[in-house]
Amino acid sequence: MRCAERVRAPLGPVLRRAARLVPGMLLLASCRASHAPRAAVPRPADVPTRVEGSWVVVTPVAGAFIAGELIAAHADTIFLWSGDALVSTPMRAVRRVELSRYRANTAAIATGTLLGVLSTVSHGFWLILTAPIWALTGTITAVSDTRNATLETTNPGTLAPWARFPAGLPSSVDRRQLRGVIRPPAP
Amino acid sequence: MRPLPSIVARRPRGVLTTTLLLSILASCFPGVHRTLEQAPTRFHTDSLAPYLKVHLASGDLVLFSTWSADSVARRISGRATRYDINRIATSAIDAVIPYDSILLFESNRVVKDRGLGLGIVTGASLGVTAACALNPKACFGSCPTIYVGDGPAARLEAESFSSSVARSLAATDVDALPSLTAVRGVATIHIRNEALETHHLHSVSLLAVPHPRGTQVFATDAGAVWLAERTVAPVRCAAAEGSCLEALRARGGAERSVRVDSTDLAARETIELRFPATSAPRLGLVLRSRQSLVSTFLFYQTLAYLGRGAGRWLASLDRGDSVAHRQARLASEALGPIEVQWPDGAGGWRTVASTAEHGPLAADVRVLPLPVRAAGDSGPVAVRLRLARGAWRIDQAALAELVAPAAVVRLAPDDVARETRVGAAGVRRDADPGALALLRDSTRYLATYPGDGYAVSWKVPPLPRGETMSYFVSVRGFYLEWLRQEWQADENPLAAAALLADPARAMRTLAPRFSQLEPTMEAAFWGSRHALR
Repeated sequence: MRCAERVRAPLGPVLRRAARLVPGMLLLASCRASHAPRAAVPRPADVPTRVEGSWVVVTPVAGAFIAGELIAAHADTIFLWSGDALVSTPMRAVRRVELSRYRANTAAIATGTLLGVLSTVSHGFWLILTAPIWALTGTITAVSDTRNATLETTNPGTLAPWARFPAGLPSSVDRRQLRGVIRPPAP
Repeated sequence: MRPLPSIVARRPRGVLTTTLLLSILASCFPGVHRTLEQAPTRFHTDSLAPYLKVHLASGDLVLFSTWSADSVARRISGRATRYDINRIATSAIDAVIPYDSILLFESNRVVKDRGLGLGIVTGASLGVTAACALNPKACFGSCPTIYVGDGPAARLEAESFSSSVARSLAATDVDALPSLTAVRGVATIHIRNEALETHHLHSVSLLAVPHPRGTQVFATDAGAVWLAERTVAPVRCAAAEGSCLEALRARGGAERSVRVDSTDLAARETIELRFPATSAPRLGLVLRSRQSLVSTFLFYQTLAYLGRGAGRWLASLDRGDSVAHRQARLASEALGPIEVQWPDGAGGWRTVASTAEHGPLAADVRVLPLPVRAAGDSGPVAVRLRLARGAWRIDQAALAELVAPAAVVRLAPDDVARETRVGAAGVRRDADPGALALLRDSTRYLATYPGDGYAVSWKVPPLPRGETMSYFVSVRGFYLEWLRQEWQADENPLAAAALLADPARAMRTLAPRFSQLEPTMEAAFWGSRHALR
């Protein structure tokens, strides 16, 4: 009861402001969030058994973006399976590549942060410090998590490990035989 | 001063709960740590990873849920699912995958520690000796070594395909074997892998060349063999240091070896040779030479600068990537071959031939046919060599009076025996029909690993009366360099890009560094050789 009174009096606005930071945090994290279809990006726990390449969105210097599974990233060319075809784009014609390594945990972090902010109601006067700390830490964690989950680079060396063929398209592979991936079960 | 514990004392549970929850928030959301390792090296993947992905050269993928590595048999086995190039599961099997067919090992681990991030581990430091560790750019390397003779009398006669550092650069190398003689109709050589490399031997053939006694035969860079009536030593040899006649007039003894230009590894020097008068119209310059350690240093320095990206660059070379090939070619051309120059008739010189027998281990003899002389020209012969200073060691220069291309009998091996060390100096030989079959099969490779050795034998044809037999070995294959963790301290992608894009400039940048290491490189290089297992 005492706690509730304290919050209602001078600290209520602080808590409300801190709680309002959570949607802002989500917005900030979403600036770096993947633009990939949810189904095309694995949860972190599924990455060890995922056998296809990661989802990439390639923005060329000129023209519309291309999205699909990263097949291989060579020094001079990036290959992806987009729609129903193998698309090769010279790296020099690429302005930006966004690669989704795994699903970011943004929603879970936001939920945890919101609950954390609300929990500071029990801190009495000290929520003036702990509520913003919760919000700030949550924001940093969300942005950091999103940055780890999504790569933005045009460096073939950084992209290659996440391709279907990390060592490059094998010379023995007939490109006409390549198809989009059917996700198989783990062993 | 108000002590901090008093704050906690007021709201101990709340503050402690906040601290605890914040620490959980900051650490409990998982990321993924992916490790890629180039194969075949020592099996060295993330041991905590729950699955292992093995990327095969064919493009297939094998996903192991349980696995074990057999470093002797060089294979990985376990419960796995195999996927084709479209990642369709083709079978759930107890898989046995030989290292030879593997391009990359990949392991993924869900981690809470974000500091780890993405890492590519392409390291293996198996058996690096102290000498090599002290000077990692001087590690013994550069291809299969070929010995003639047994025990202490064994002579290092040749090294094969030194510049073939990827499958797409596979080459055939023909080397003279002047010490080889047949014993009861059988000629035997010993092929060793003495470096941190995987050698892929496609074929090992003996070229038997019968020729009249008193004559000699020499191979060209292209693998043709010429018959020479006689050879003569130079009467004059002039270089920047003065006379080099003593070093070059005869085979064996001291090689001509000079230090590099400390400001530019590609700086050229010239050596002027003069030979006695001859009326023979068709002449060839015979050179017995090998590379110094400059090329080894440059190759290892390139891999060191590439660091964790070295495996990827080598893989791109392996699959024939045009950019990587161009980069490798430019780097190789920066040092260049030994050019042979001939008077141009206007007081100058023009390049008429060149040789680039690669490798720093064994000197090889080459003949470089010279322009056919005009009828009646019977004066002394002047030849000039132009080469990167300090990049080559020349043991002998001679003028050969060429007769004609020689007839060569090419022989496939009749017997292969695996050699293993017994005691301090003994060697045991066990017939290895599997290795023999691989060397006789034009579609497959015999892979050898550090410390491996094979005795390869041929039954040679009977010798015609009045003739003698000279032998050459023709080896086709390539090798894969093992990447060493010691090199990664030098990782510098910008320097790597600069070296590969503008090798001429890199020759100047790296010259002071090599010059500093040069006095100790030779000892470190030979000290890091892998003995027979």
